[in-house]
Amino acid sequence: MIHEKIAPGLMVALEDFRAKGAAGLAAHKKLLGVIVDEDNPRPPRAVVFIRCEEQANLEHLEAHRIRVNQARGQVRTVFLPLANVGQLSDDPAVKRIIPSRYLQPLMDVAPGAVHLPKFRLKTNLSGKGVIIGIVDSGIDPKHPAFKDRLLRIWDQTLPGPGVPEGEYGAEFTKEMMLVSRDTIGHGTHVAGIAVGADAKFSGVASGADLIIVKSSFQEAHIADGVRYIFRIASEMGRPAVVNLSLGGHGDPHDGSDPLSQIIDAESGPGRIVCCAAGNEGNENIHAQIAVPQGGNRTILFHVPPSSGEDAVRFAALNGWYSGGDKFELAVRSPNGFQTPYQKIIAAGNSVQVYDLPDGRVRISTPDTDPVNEDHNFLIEIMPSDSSHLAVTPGTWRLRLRGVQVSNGQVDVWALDNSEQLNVVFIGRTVQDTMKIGSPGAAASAITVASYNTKARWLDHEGNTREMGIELNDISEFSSEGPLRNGGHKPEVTAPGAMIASALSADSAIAPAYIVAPGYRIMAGTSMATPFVSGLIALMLERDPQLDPETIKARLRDSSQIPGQPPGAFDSKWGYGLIDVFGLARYFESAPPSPIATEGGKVRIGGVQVKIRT
Amino acid sequence: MNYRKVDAKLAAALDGMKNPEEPALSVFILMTQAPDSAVATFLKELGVKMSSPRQQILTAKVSPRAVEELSKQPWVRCVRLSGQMKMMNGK
Repeated sequence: MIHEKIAPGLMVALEDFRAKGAAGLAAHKKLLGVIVDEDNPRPPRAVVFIRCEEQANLEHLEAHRIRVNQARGQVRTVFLPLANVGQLSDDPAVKRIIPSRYLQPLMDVAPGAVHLPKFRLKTNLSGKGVIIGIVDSGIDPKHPAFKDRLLRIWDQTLPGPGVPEGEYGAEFTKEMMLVSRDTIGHGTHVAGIAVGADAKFSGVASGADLIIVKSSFQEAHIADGVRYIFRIASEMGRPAVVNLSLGGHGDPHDGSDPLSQIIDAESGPGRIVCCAAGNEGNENIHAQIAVPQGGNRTILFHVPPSSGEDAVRFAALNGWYSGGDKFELAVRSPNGFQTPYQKIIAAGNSVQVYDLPDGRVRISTPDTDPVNEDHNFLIEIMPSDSSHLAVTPGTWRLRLRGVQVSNGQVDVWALDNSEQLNVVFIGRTVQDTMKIGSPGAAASAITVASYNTKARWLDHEGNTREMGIELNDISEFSSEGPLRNGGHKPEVTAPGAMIASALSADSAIAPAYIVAPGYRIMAGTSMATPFVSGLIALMLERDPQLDPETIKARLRDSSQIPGQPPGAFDSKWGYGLIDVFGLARYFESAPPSPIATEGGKVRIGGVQVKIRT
Repeated sequence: MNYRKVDAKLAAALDGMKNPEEPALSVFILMTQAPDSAVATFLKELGVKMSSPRQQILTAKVSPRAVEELSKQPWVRCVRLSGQMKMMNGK
């Protein structure tokens, strides 16, 4: 036994076990992952975490009845006889052995904050009969939280014949679903919040079934995924809610983009889409300026110094303004080089390319958009040639000249090629509004902001971890509405930070985020969205024909911004934090809608009734 | 090419492509009405598949040449480039 590899708490338990046998473990059972069967002669066993090399092969430990639950990863869970911990420590690939402590559940904090347990007690709803479709990074199909409730997976990232909605990817059912993996872990966590079944980390609708689309995150493929889920649900005669914990800013921010329009077309009675508001509340990704007739105005944006893998190789601005206005625009580089002013190019190719010493600038200024009849422009900045691997850092300027102005307002969003936004606006034109893009901008979607219900947690090693977030308040990162056309978004706020939910065994994760075997902490409007998706599944269980507008009205009437009167709207909170118990009133008097007809009969609340026509 | 029907992002993407026959553009095709059989045949020849005849917005992966053909059709309202989205976590 290599003592240095074994955490102190586990070492004490081992010594007590050696000295007193199973009786010596009484004090450790509750604190450590030690299993002692009082009525069973089997030796005590333990669940532990190990730290090891990412690719270490530990299959040979099975010979010692040591079962390592994951084939790879730097942190893995292991189930073994307690007496064999020494043999585990002897393995050179194992760096550290840590007990799996019993921790306080955290999902019980989030549901409690919005009175979900009271709602459940009163209504006894679990989402049974409802399908929750999740278009995301996939799912861990072996995770026990989803046992027997995973209906189908369309893995868009694997080669295959596809499905009717798109001839790409592979569709799996039953045992074949094990082929698909969630190596990112986002989708598994989202699914756990919506439907996970677990004594400690239960999701909102733990009786609902799942259809998973593992997506490439390409907009068109997301749209295909939404259509796929609704088709399957329709074929099964079941209501469905589609969860989209994703988004972007390459759209007009008014719900007229194709993905939003497809969501609107697909939504209806028993067909609901729930979207994340976005996580750019702290990011200066939006600038707004008023340009007068004949005047010049400037929007500043900053490109940081970068190199290597993190190099900013592409910066883009997505601009929109009224179709009645006409502007010319130019781009000035950090060293003062400037493109000519480019006017709207109504006929022919709207793209012009300018090679400046500081970079190549491509500007597209087409005529009005055929859908929303506004003007759109796109500016792309790239390194000037192959000798420059990154966009020239510093302050760039977008210059706008008012040629024909009736409205004058110009809204611009920054885009780049990184996960963390690098290109941001600076100066007076920065606006903390209109940061909800597609698909959260879809008119029929229920768009969800995030609320902080937990700031501190214990990781699996027993270390206290704390995030710098304001407890019981809106999450700073939660993106603000309204839409560019004034549409009210987001709709509601729900718990989104910090949330414990299912951990994909195939994902790599820093140990500080693991809270128990199979569970991890995450935050974002990604996490708030499945909370509401699960809630909608509960509503659809009772009334499968509920439409988006009715659901929105009920959510709105059961939400409130702290300190403000009911019905007040705020661009950050929407109509406020959801009070789930407030929804219970809709289940007291109204009988459920018919859900199926069989030979002139309908089933209402489990009773078959004949219809007279 | 009828650039009136091509959005700014797609115009920029087309400008950056060398091979007009390479089906590398993931797009949305917005139509003025649900396609009839003649339109369906035209789309099929371009490699665009419809999953339902009632849909007025189609998704497809097409070449610059196909975008050009689509932009010339009176029943095509516009063609828009499909962008990349991201997950909303990590804060």
